[in-house]
Parts: sequence; structure tokens; C-alpha cells
Amino acid sequence: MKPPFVTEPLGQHNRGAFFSGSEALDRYFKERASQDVRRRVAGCFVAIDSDSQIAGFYTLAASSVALDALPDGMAKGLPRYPVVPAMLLGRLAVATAYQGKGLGSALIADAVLRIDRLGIGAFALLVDAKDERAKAFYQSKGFISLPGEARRLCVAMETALRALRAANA
Amino acid sequence: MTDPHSLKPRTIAAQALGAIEPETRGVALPVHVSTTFIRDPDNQYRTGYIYGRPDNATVRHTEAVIAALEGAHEAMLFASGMAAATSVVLALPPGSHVLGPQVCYWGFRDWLINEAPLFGYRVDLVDMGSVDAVRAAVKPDTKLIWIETPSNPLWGITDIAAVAEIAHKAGARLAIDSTAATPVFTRPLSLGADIVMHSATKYLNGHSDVIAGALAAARDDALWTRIKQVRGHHGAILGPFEAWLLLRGLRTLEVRVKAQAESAALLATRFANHAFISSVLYPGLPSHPGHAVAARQMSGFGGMLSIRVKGGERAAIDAAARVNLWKRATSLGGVESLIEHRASIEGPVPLTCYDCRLVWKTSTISTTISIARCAPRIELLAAEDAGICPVNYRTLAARDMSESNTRTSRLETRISPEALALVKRAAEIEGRSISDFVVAAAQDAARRTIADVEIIRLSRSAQKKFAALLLDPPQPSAGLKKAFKHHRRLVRDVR
Repeated sequence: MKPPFVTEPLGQHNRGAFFSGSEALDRYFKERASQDVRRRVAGCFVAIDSDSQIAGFYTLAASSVALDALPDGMAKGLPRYPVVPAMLLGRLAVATAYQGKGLGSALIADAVLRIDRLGIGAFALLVDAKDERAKAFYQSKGFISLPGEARRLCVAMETALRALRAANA
Repeated sequence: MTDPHSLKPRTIAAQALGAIEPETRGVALPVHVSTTFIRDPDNQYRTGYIYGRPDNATVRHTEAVIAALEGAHEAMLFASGMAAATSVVLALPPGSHVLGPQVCYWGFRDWLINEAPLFGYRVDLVDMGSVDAVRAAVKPDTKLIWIETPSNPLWGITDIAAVAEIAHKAGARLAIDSTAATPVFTRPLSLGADIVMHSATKYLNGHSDVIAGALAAARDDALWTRIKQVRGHHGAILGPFEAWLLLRGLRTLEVRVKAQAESAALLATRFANHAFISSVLYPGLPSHPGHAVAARQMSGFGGMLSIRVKGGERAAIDAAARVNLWKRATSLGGVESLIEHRASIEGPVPLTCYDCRLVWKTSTISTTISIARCAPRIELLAAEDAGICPVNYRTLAARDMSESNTRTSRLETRISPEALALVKRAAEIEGRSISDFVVAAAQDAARRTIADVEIIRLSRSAQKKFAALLLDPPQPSAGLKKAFKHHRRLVRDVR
């Protein structure tokens, strides 16, 4: 393990050696990620170690959350949009060699940082955890599970940005 | 009590002029079926009802509602639109000259060309889209100018006020078939027309279950009296049951017609510049030759549009043949959405060249509501349904395959059965293999913009929790703060 890492958009990186232990995530990264980037359905960002090896990746996509079933009183405090903008942290994986060292949570922070830098409207960061273990991971990082949504969690951007400011303070 | 005529048209229609049934105070009027009425002991008929042709309370009440909607002196119902239209001509002195439109409901044009002369009328047909052509065609003994705007099936527009002026200067009357416009979008009498005609079978009734016609007159005069005589003597009356159904249909006229027009405008916009369509005929499009006049004299552009499909007559008939959502049928103005290859109905027409067109009769309240709620998808389905834009079909399919890769061997296990059905049908329409099709779908998807991103639909309780987080963002947890500390420690540069 050779930190420090650099994070950057997926480009001409060598993806063949990436192994996170999750077959679905590894296959996605090798077969689909660059295609999704080309199709502009998701952005993919990688963490590169000092040997230019990929240590982890995550994807981000713009999304919208419909808020059309709220009680009247609640809707009052919100913008009059039928939908609110959000960012979706689609996939996140860390190579086995780097697991358990804080890189996964650093990549969540990295995503928040990028969204903040973009300066685009997003009320929340959403994530669809792939299994219960992943769900527990996101919950430990402050993501809140939503009732009736098996593995969809979210964190308010404002909450995440407060954490960012606290870290920089 | 409020004078019903002072109310807005939609209220007049919805409340059927506020009438109640006096005996029970029911809000729905009864169907009056009696054909004959008792004389008073002194041999009078003080009620005004003598004999069921044409004295019928249900018919009269429906007529009163139509008169109110048109701002007319009075309205009369007829057994059909044709009975109403022909009664106007037949009320003219024999030998009169009549100016009619080259493009209008073909049944009436056929009558003007082939039948009216048998009654001694002389008929000329002109391009009613050109005020100059109308002016040039008027003769000293022209007694009637008949127009139809928007005119079936090309939806051409006639300048009502300008033609009314020409007619009146020549001592003629202006009658207008306003079936497609409806009183919701055009009030021809206020623009100078003398008589408004409706095929009430269409929008006024609106449910494809009544054949009826209507006339509404600006004033009580000799011509109107004569038309009444023609209706009575020819027996072209409407039955009470039909009048009652028509009255019921009229109550929802405005909401139906506006919803239908909204659908038509949406489709017209989407179809304009479409690769498979050579032209869209809809007065609401700025490219339509009658658009400026329509915008002036109409408050909406109606629910009818025609398209010309590239590839000629065969392609047009094929497209109509592929339709599922739109029913292949003639007529218009009902709650169903209909489509028709009009030239197949009318046959070769010597006076106008219609080439290959399809008439889209946008309709269905349900479809319209769907359009309002999820426009792109319904639009795709509608267009796809006609088999005329497989490109959009691909995009639709591509959206439903978000989790699939493009290997067709795995497609069936990776996408929903609904999406798979779309893919198969789309490939079939395009005459490609499924794998070719899927590759094309992926290429199309590459052109998607951020606006196309799927909307996440949460359960009601999840929405509440989500909204609560937005309204009052909680302080970050220790774990979240720690994530940023890890980031500071591990990540040197964010590029």
C-alpha cells in the first residue's frame, strides 16, 4: 500500500488488475464503467496509488427524487418542485489490498467534495447498498436508511458539507 | 338568482344552464318522451307543446345550452350534422348561388357538388384559406358562403371576420362548420358569422354514442325561420334520448376539449421534424399557413392533427395498421384516440391533392392525463404505436435496460419482461437482429442528456423521512466526520 492517493476521472487506467472481491463490482468496473462514462449516464472516479495502480473507484450520477406524496404541512417548507435534485453514488469499491484502511470512507468524502466543487444543485447524496454489509458500512458513515426502501440510504448534502467544513477547520 | 348566461361557458355547460327537475329537484333532467300534449279546456296549448316534432323539452333544453355556449339567439338540433348543414342550404331560395370550401368534411362537399344542384342551387368551391380567392368568387346572387375552420382533414384555417365582411357586403350570409373548433376555442358569431353548424356527434357529445347535428343563429330572421320550417317539414329532428345524451356530454365539453388539444399540441410538436414524417398539419404550429389567423380567432388550436408519413400511401396505411393505442376509425371528438388514413375513405378527390396523410384524432381523457404526468414516455408509446419512429422506441428500450449489458445472450435474464418485449418489438419493427438493435440502443442512449435521468420514486414514508432531512439537516455523525479525516490523510490531490 502506497498512499498518498490521487483521485481522478476514469481514463486510460489499467483496470484489468483491479480486484475488490465483489464479482459484480469488479465486472462492472471492467466491462461497463467506461461505457457508462462514454454514454454520460455516470461519472466514474478512481483512486490511484503512487505506483499508478487503481486502489478504488466510485460512480456518480445526477438523479431526481420525486416528492409528490408529502403531507401538506411538510411540503410547505420545501421548494415547489415536484422533484428535488440529488446525486447518486452508484457504485463504490476498494481493492482488497487497501481494504480496512479508511479508503472506502475517504472515497465517500471525495464524492462530496466533487459535488461541492461542481457547484450544482443537489439536496442529498443517495446510495443503493448492494448488500447488508454495505448497508452497515454506509450507516456507519452517517447515511440514513429510508423506510420501505430496502437498501437505499441517503445523507443530506448540507450535513455532509458541515462534516467537510469541520474537517477543514 | 344568477343569470346563467352571465356565467363562464364551462359553468354553463357543466350545470346545463342550472336547470333542475322541478318535481324532485333532481340535478339531472329527465328524458321527455311524450309525442303529444293535452290541450287546455279552452282548446289552447298554453305550455307551447303541441306535438313531438319538433316540440320536446329535452331537445329544447339541450338547444338552449348550445345557444348559450355559442352566444347565439337560438340553437336547433338536427338528426345529424348532415341534416343541419343541408337544412341551411335548403332554406335558401331555389337558384341561389352558394360558395363552399374546396376542403371540408367530404360528405357535405359531396352533397354540395352532386345533390344541391338537383334542388336548383349553383355551387362554386373555393380555397377558403385565401380571402382574395373568396372575394373574387362572390357573385351578385351569392346568398350563402359556407366555411369550415379548422377544416377536415388538413386543418386549414379561414379568416372568419374577413369572410363575414365579404359575405355581408355581397348581401350573403356566412355559415360556418365549427365542429373541429368547438365553442370552447372559437365563437364564430362574435366574429361576424350568421350561423354556426356543429356535427354534435363529435366534440359536443364527445362519447362516440350519438349522431346529432346543431345550428346556432346570431339572430332571429327570415332565414332562421325558414330553417326551422325545413327541419320540421323534412322531419330532420333529433330524438329525446339522443338529446339527453348530448346534454350529458356537453357538461364536460370544456375539460375534454382542452385536454384533447393539449395532447394534440404535444404530438404535433414531437412529430414536427421527425425523420419518418414529411409534414405535420396542425394550426398550433407556427409553420402552419393558417397559424397567425388561428392564433387571432381561436383561444386554442383543437385536438385534431394530420401527418404525412414519408414513403407514400403504402407507408401511411402501414403506419396506421401498426397502431394499437389509437383506434383505426373514422369520426372524431370522442374520448377515444382515433387514427385514420383519410384518403382511403374519401377516394380520389379531383379538387384537392391530399397525398398520403394520417389524421390523428388525439383524445382520450385517460391518455391526456397520462401525457401530463409522464409526457415523454406516452409520446414515445404513441409514436411508436404507429410504427413511425423506431428510433424513439430504441431510446425507450434503452432506458429500461439500465442494468443490462449489451450481450444479447444474457438479455433475457437481465432485463424486465416488459423491457424485453419492447426490445423484441423494436427490433422487429426495424427489421434488425436483436443484437444489432441493442447496440443501436446503446448508441442512442449515449445521446441522452442529464435531463433524462430517471426520477427516483420513494415510498410515502421514505419521502417523509427524506424531506425531513432536507428541511432540517442533522449534524454530521462521527463516522461521516471521520470519512473526511481519512480523505485528508489519504488523498493528496483531487483532480
